[in-house]
Amino acid sequence: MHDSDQEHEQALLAAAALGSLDPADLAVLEQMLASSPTARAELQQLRETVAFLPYAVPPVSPPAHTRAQLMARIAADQARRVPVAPTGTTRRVGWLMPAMLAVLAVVMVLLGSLTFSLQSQVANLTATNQELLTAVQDLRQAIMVGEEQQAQLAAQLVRAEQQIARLNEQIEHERLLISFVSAPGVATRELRPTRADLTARGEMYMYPGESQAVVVFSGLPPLQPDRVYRFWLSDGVQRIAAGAFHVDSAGLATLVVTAPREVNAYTEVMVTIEPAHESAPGEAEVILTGTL
Amino acid sequence: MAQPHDAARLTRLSDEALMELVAAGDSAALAQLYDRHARVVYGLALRMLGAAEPAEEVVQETFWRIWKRAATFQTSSSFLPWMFGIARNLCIDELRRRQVRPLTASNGEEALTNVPDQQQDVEQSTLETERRRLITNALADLPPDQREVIELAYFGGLSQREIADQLQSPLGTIKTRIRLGLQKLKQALLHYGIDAPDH
Repeated sequence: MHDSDQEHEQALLAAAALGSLDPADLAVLEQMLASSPTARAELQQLRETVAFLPYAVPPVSPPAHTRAQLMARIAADQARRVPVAPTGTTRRVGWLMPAMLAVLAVVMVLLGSLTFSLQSQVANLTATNQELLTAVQDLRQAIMVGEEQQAQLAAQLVRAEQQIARLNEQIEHERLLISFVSAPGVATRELRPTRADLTARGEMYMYPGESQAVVVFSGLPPLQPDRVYRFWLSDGVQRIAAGAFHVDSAGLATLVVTAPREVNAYTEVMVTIEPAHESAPGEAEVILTGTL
Repeated sequence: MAQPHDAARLTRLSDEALMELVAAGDSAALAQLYDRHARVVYGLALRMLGAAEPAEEVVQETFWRIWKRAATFQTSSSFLPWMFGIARNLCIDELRRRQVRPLTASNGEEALTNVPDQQQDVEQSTLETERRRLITNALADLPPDQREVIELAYFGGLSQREIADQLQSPLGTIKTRIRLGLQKLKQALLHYGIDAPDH
């Protein structure tokens, strides 16, 4: 290398060490450093020489707040940093903090899990409770419906029993009629209307020596509710009311007569129309009559 | 992080060893570096900027960048050139932002004398005083024209071409003065027995 080249190289290195290199020389310097270890070593030495220059200036203590601000800035930066690998005596503290954090994290996770589990249980119990309340309400409604149905059934039963009783009574009545009508030796007497415009008639079935008899009426007009047909027995001296009756819509009625003594002891029978709660044969109209 | 009882141990560590701790997040190691070098950095910034407030900002920002860039520092290299490089670049950025140039050497010296030095560490102060005496003598041994261009380059933050323009000298002349002056300074420091600056 020529002296001029070496001087040029040293000039570049000196300027670079002082930080006064012109931008135009930067590319040349980089090329030189890349190819010359000697140049790199020389630059390092010159930089170390330049590093003495600040000591040519009287040192001055910066204000205390400069250091305080710097350390506060660093402390804030440390708080944001990911923990670094501890060294030396810092190891114990560095080990404890992550351990405490780990324990804290585990506790937090466990508490979170426990809370989540309890919340789930509470939610399940609440749902179950709601289901039970709904079921109880359904049961209450079902019981109310059942009670209503039971009341209806009880009423139906009462009505059915009443119907049965009426049917039994009717059956007994019919049986009695049949026994009277179909029994051998029965005597029949006819009751005729007292007026020509009436088509009504009656037929009386009786046994000689018996106090009961059956009378079947037909053609009688239905009466007002406050009026009844009344059946009379007469022995020529006095008349005895032997029963009251209504006719159905077809004008039919059957009356079982129970007399104070044997029926054949009476000589005459008649039917009158009278008030339902009064009995005054003398004033009542006789519409059927017959002789025994 | 270092504990208070480690302070004595930290004072015995080299700058490069402290940087290993700083790179590991040890703020006490950085505090030790600050206590060790902040006065020189502040003096340099005052010399280059001529005002206390921006100089304080340069000091804080220098050590903040040391903290943030510690992982990029190669401990096989020297710490002081790296640190002063950061501080000086910050000063130059401030000068360019202000578009003004630093005070002259004499004005800078006057400005510095108005700032009280509150150094309490007698041993550190003695070391710095002796180092300043030696580097001042080494600079004084340089020819004035060589010392001038070195000071304009380093403390003034001027490029060679800017120095040539300011001194109205040929660029080649300025380059030669810088080359020769720095070589002589290097030899003078070796003569005075100053090796690479350390605490």
